[in-house]
Order: sequence, then structure tokens, then C-alpha cells
Amino acid sequence: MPTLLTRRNFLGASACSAMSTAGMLNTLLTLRTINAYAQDVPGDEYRAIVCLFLYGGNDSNNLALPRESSAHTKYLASRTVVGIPQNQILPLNSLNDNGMQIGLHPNMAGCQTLYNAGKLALVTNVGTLVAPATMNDYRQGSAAIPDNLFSHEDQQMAWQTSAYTMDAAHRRTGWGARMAEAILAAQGRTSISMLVSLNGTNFFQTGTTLLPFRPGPGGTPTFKLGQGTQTKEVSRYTAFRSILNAEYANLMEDAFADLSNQSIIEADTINAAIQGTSNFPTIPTTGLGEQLRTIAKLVQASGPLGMKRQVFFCATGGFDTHGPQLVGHANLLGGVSSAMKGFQDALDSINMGSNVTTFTASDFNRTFDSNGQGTDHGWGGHHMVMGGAVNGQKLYGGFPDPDITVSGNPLDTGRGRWIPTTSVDQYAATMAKWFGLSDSQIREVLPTIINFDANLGFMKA
Amino acid sequence: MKRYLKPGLLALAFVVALLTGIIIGDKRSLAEQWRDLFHSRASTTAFSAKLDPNDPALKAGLPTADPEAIFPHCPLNALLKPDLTPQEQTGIIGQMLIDYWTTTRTLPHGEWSEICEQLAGKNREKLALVPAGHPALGKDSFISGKDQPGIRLHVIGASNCLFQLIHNGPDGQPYTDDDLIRNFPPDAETR
Repeated sequence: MPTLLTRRNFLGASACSAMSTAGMLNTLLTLRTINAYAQDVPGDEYRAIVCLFLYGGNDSNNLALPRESSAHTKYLASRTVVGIPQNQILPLNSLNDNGMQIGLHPNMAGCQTLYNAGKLALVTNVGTLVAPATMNDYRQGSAAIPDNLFSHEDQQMAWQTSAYTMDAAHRRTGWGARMAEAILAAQGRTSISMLVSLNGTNFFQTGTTLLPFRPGPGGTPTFKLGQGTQTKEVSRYTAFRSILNAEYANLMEDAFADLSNQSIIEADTINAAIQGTSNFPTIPTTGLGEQLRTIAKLVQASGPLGMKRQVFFCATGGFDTHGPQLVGHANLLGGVSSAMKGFQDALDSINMGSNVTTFTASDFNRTFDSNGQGTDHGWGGHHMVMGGAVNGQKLYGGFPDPDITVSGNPLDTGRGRWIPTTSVDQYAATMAKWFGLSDSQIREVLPTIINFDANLGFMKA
Repeated sequence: MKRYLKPGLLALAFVVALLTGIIIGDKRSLAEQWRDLFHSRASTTAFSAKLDPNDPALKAGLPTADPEAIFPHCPLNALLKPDLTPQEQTGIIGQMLIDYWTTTRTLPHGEWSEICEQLAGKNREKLALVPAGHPALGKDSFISGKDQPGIRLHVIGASNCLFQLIHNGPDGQPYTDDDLIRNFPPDAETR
């Protein structure tokens, strides 16, 4: 008997059809999104970003400084007791010199070699900014000016999260983690976290879904219970793993067991993978050197670990140089320079020099003038980007006029605290592009980039 | 007119009787009394001309100024009390900064002049705690009095109320080995 097309039948069929179509469309759209993400990732080669954070606020006014006579005279008149004599500054063969003949601190011979070899670039006057800012914006406290300037922890957080105001929606996650989460689809294997911190907890790698793995010094994360070979110890280890593998009704217990299990698996996997790696003798045996050595080992082991993208974090402190700073700061910069040089040489020795990009970051720059002994908290500062994929031997960004002895310096908010001319977001976005993020992903990861040019050009395509 | 004559004479007689009583009451002669009166007026004039404001005896006689009464309701007035220990001085400043943070959720930061402006009310909540020109606001730091060692504010975390107060110490110079550093809260750390 043929079914009559009644109003009731028609409505029922339409509802069923609409529901199934919606489900199918949703699946198709999801697949399209995944496909789009996958297509956005350029090539299949391994790429890693290493954040080298200089805690305390590095006085980068003495990292990159003018050698040209008239500029150096102004520099010295402004810096007084923390100034470096002209004949001690290390020259750089810049491809785009700005007329000031910018050179490096006398203790940074390693970075000088890297720069002149085209493996290091200087990005000058970078700092936290919501939007391009002028002196008037600063005086008025306009929306372009970040909250809590000159405060260590706030500016560390701002640098690492790219959230510059207290009410920014993305304040609770770091841009390193957001970048990894955005590109997660490109990562075939996810049993090992894409985020690895060699210096404890940090904002940079705090994500919504991803957590950083934190190996111990020397790259040998250990789970004590699993190290013994005696039958008793093995049995205890097996029993512990069984407990962790059990199902728990309590959500807290279940999450704890999962996290512990994941940590043990990651530690075991990483330990096994780095066992045959090089010891990289070019890297110095300093605190920072050991962190970079572990990173180099993990980069070498990236193949066996199945990693395609990684974000590393390492750090060193002591840069809050209010007191007599010339000698202490020179030692700090010397340590950073030799560790960076050793690390790049190590990566080059395993043909991974172009796959890893290392960049420096710090709370803030310091005042251009001296407090009589050292320097106080500043704002925009100079940073280094290192790696074979860097368009090196160049300066990127504006360099402030080193004369603060007369009023009217357009970037001087007082005592030589520079208004940044390049934002942290621009600095980050340029590396994010190289890392494989699409323009739309970059805008999601770094929301305030819409106020700036997203590519500074210091990375090769 | 006649009706005022009687009361007027009566009043005059009363005044004459009063003066006569005073003169008779004093045991000295009329001439001595007249000389004393003249001498007393002359010596008062001479004393006024020689008054020395730095005379310790004169100072001792004057009431002591209350340092806390310089500005009403200012938390830094207490810092001006003499004989406070560095611990007490940093305690007063620290409590004021904690109060500032409690209202504004930030700490005054930047150059010293900017810190002073923020304490005077240039902040989101327009909270004015210390008026500009307060004697506890020195050239580049808090001070408990003229020529006293400065106390500097070192902001570690403005949004989470972490800071250090750095007392210049016996040498009076900032950022030297004898500085006394007090953390707020005590376990605050810098990297």
C-alpha cells in the first residue's frame, strides 16, 4: 500500500533528513579543517624553537651598542659608569648597518662569530606593546601601553604569554604552548609532549591541553622506582604501574594516575632515545650549557621519538643588575654567548642547525642611564635570534638614539627607558610563521598581532 | 546733658578711688612706682629686639611639633618619627604599599617621580595616599628625615604584590653590600 504524503510524514522525514545532513556536514567541515591544518604545515622536516629567557631584565643596551664615534660619544655620555669603551666593542659585519656601526659586548665573541657567519640576527628595541605607541600614549597611559611595566613578574608573564593587560583573555596560557597546540595536527605521534622545559615551570609553555615535559639536568629524567634491576625492585615497579593503569571512579584519582603514567612513559621513552646521542663537547658545562646540551640531545633523538615540532624553554638568571654591574654583567653575557655558540655548533654537527631556531627574551631592558652603580628597570630592548634558518648578519627594527642627555628623545620615557618600536608579538609571529603556523593560526595564538606587521623578515621562508 | 553729669562724676570717683587703692596698696613710693613702670616698658622693647629663634632656652620653652600632624591621614607621617629602626621604617612603608595594592591591585612602579605621582593619586582608582611634596618622599627614595638613608622600592610583581624595600644602610649609598633588604612577603624571591 503506497504511503500517503501526510503533513505528519512530511515533517518527520524532514526532521530526520535535517539531522543526518547536519551530522554529515559537521563531519565534512571537521575533515576540511584538519586537512587545511595539515596543508598549512610546510614540508615534513623537523623544526624546533628554543626560548632562552634571561631572568631579571637584561641590560641589552650593553649587548648591542654603537661603535661609530659620534654615536658612541653620546652613548658614553648617557651611560656614564656602565659604559663600555669604544675600542672594546666587538665589530659586526652587518649587511644592513644603520650608520651607528652596531657592535657586540666585548665578552660575546661567540655570538660575533655566529653573526658574521649569517647564523645570528639582532632584533632591536623589542618590547611588550598592545599597539604601536608614542610618548603621548605613554604619558596618557593609553590602551596601547601594557599594564604593570617595569615589574619583573608581570613583564616576564607578558613576554611569555603575549598578554599585556590584566584582563586579556589569553593571559593564562603561553604563546609557546598555544603555538604547539595550534600545530598539533602536524605532530604524528603525541605520546611525548611537544613542549620541553629545562628550567622548571614557566608561562611560555602553559597550555590549555598541553603540558611541558621537564627533564632533569643532563637530560636524564629518572623515575627512581624503575631504575633497579633486582627482582624485588622490578616487581615493585610493575605493581606501581599496574596501580596507575587501573580505572578510577574518582576523577581526581584518575587524572593523577593518567598524568603519573604519562610522565613515566615519557621519561622511559626519552631516556631510551637519548642514550645513544652525542655528548656535544662544544657546549660549555655551565648551568645554561647543560640545559642546551639536553635540548641538543633531544633534537638528535627527535627522529626515533617521532617528533616533528618541538618548543623548548631554557633560562638563566641574575640579570637584575641594580648594583655594580660592569663585571658581573660581562660574565653573564659571556656565559650566554659561549653557550649559544656551543649549542649552534652542536646542532650543526648533527646537521640540525637549520632546523632549530633559538631566540632570547627577558623581562625588560634596563635604564640607559646609571643609578650610580648599575641600572634600573627599563622597557624595550635588543634580542638575538640564532639558527641556520635565520636571515642572519642583519639588524631588524629601530635602534634608539643613544643620547638621553638632552630632552626630546622620542623614545625615552625617562632615564633611557625606550618605548619599543617592535612588539613581542611581531618577534613571535615571525618565528611562528617559520614554525608552520598559518596566518589565521598566528592571529589566534597572538591576538594583538592584528595591530602590527606580522613578519619582520628575519626568518627564511 | 545734666542727666549724665551725676553718673559721670560717680564713675570718675570710682576710677580715682581704684587707682588710689592700687597705689596705696604697693609699699613702694609713688616715684619708685613711676620709675619701675617706665623701666619695665623700656626693657620689654629691648628684649623683643634681641630675641634669638635658635636660643636653646627659648626652644625648650616652645611646644614640640607633632610630625604626624603635618599632613592629615597620611600613612607615611609615621615614618617621620625619630629613632625608628630600619625594620620599623620598612614596616611602615611596606604596610602602606600593601594598602595601596589592596585597593588598586597594582603597586606603584617606574621612575621615582612616577611612583610619587601614583602614590599621590595617579592610578586607576584615584587613590591618593601620600601628597606630593611630603617630607617622607626624598629625591629618589623614601626617607625618614633629612640626611637619613633612603629606602628604595623594588617591584618584583606589581599584580601579585611582591616587592622589596631596600634600605641604603649605614653608608647611605644605594645598592652596596651594607644595604638592608626586606622582602614582602618574606618568602618573595627574584630570579
